[in-house]
Amino acid sequence: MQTIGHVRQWVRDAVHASRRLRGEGPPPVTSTFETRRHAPSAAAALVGRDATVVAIIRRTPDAVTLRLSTGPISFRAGQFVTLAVPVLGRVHRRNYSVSCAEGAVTEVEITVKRVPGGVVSTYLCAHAKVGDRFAVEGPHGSFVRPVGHVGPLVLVGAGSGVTPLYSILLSLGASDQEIALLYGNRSAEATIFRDELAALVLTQPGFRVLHAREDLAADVAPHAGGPTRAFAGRMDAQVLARMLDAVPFVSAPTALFFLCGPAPVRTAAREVLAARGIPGGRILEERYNAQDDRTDGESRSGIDTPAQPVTFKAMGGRTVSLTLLPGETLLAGATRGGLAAPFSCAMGGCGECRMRLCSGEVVMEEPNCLLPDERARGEILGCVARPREACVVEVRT
Amino acid sequence: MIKERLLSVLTPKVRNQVESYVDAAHVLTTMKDPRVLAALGPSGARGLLLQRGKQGVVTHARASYEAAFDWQYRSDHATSTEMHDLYVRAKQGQWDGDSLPWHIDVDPESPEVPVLPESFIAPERLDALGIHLSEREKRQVLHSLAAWMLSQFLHGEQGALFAAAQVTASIPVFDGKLYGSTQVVDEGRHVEVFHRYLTEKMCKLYQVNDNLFTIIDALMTDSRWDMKFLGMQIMVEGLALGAFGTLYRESKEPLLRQLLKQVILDEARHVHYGVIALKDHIARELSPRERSERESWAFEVAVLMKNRFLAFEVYEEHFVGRMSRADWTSFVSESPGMRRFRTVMFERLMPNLRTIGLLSPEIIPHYEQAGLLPFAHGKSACELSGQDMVKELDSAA
Ligand code: FES
Ligand SMILES: [Fe+2]
Ligand SMILES: [Fe+2]
Repeated sequence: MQTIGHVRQWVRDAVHASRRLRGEGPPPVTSTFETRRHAPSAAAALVGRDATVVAIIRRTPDAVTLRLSTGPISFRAGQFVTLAVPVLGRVHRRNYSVSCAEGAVTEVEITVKRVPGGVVSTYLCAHAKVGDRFAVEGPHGSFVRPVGHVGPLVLVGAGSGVTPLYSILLSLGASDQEIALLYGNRSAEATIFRDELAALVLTQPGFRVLHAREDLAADVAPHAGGPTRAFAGRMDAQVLARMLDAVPFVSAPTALFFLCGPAPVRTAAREVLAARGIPGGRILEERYNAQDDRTDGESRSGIDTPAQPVTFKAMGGRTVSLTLLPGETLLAGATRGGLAAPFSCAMGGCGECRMRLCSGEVVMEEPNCLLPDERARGEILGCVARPREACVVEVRT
Repeated sequence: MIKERLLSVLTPKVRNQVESYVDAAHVLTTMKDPRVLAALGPSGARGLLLQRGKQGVVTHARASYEAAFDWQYRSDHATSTEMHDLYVRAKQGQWDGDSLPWHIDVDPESPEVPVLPESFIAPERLDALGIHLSEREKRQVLHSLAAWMLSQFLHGEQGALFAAAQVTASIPVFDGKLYGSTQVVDEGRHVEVFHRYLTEKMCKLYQVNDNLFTIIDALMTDSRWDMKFLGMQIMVEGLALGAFGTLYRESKEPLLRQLLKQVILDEARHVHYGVIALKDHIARELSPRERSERESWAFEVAVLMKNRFLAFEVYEEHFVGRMSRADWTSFVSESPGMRRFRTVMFERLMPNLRTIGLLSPEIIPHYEQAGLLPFAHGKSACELSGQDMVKELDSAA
């Protein structure tokens, strides 16, 4: 049997070679696939245009809307822009969803919520003033309703995750469009666009808001079956399941789901939707999130650390102190200081470069392979950790 | 001269095939070490001369190797602790390919969000050859090149999947087997995500490159477990890590960047696994003769990898008859992106070869001669400090 297999293979070899010598080599591409490309977005991305703050609207004690005059710009609801913000002599780039109605305009609004420890959001919330100028890129993103979609929309968001969803709400054509917003917040005061949403409910007959509020002891249903309801608790899988039960068109086969906000909320929403048999193809998710201001998500904020003094304590009692360069990792610093700190992948994947943080604070690129119990013990990965302040670090050598 | 004359009477397509045979013969005849030729030669014949990967049918490779069972489940091997640690990390690091933002709409020919930026190949260099690409052609060539690279990643991942399974069975260290099981899953996931990206987003799949086929075939069919390790975990994984890292840095396409970031974290473990498994084995278990054979083998494979991933499939698709194979070779190998790729790859590879003891003073001149030490002036790559490596990675976008 095997011999037959061999002979067949030799015949194929011979045929293949003779074809090649006649100039009929194998086709370089084996298969092509039907393109699933959509129409190109309404506007080409704009690079580094200058924008001026023309108005500031305070939304909650720690969130503001900035209206930026950008010159002609055209965007779709759900897209975001990238702002380059100089803080303390360094330029930081952050993504913010546009939070006004879509179209071809000359001004856009973004809404920024302060992230604890976030350099840029803190700065914008506290210090931005009319007349400030920033470079703006974009619009970017495909968190948009596909052209031609007809059917109900379910928007799920928490905290500042509401911003692109609010833009989608403002951009609805027909007033009887069926649409629900499931919106999680700590308290009524912390709810961005609280009054605006209440007003929209009155003018958009197809629109309903379902709040999830951590400060509530029990669910609130102002007028039973009415368009605004509030559920008690953090918007986790359980609360979300109850909220979805209250939306009549959830199981419509044409319904589209938009998820935005902190990762736990999006994960919970995905779980609940999957449990209801809703296919992933009908779920859109905006992943960059406000926390990026603090840790390094897809943005490179973690890399923007300023110069910091660091002391490395090696095994055997040797101590090396030096000032890390802006953006330098602890591993690079230790090596520069002449310590033979172990490492292997230099990209946060293997755990070989573990160090122990004795004092100070570092920021690490995420995700990485550090285990939860290592984290709890104060261990860090030197190859992706940069000091946020003066640090003392123990190095295995 | 005579060769030129002979070739000039052939049609471009035939000529291309003949030159490809000449190339193949050249590769095989320049292998210096007879033991290496014996090990790589048959694979080279199957891959380079017969193009077994391109015959349009399923390829059958005969694998013969020993599975090592340990009915005592011992964990007292010198490397057991390290293997165990890596296993724990690998379990925690699992992720779901479905969780990538697949909803992102990718236009493979977009100038605004390029999958591969123009600067990667600097197409204006073609002007010197009298070839002027229109904007549209430029986009198409970049699309082809990106799809070609990703196709080779995919084919490499298929090889990695099977090799990981083989290695898991044959490694004599029990904790290494447990770890190996996670790598099998990792590689399966890599096949899944690259295949999905190619079919859904790039809409194109290329043939397996002959050199890649040769390497995969060689390590699938070699019966010695440490050769499989060396080939897969050190050489191919090192190559992959360099390639993924380069593309991660150059690409502007957010879905691909996220995909690569996740895959890179897995691959970092894989390379580390190879280093742990081999450093001890090579130092203690091998005779000097066996060690030097591994060393030459690694060198020949490095040569195969260095200048041989030249996207001839893209040449055949777009440029046969417009420029010579030789011009294409220098066009691709001297492109800015390829140079960066080689630098990153060998910066990763060399320290690993040194750690496992396969970069002795006898072999270094060979690497130098083959132009494989990219830092000819100043440090040789084997003296390249971790700082340089890390710095280089940090300056990444
Ligand atoms: S060197 Fe691999 S995680 Fe830092
Ligand atoms: Fe892989
Ligand atoms: Fe791998």
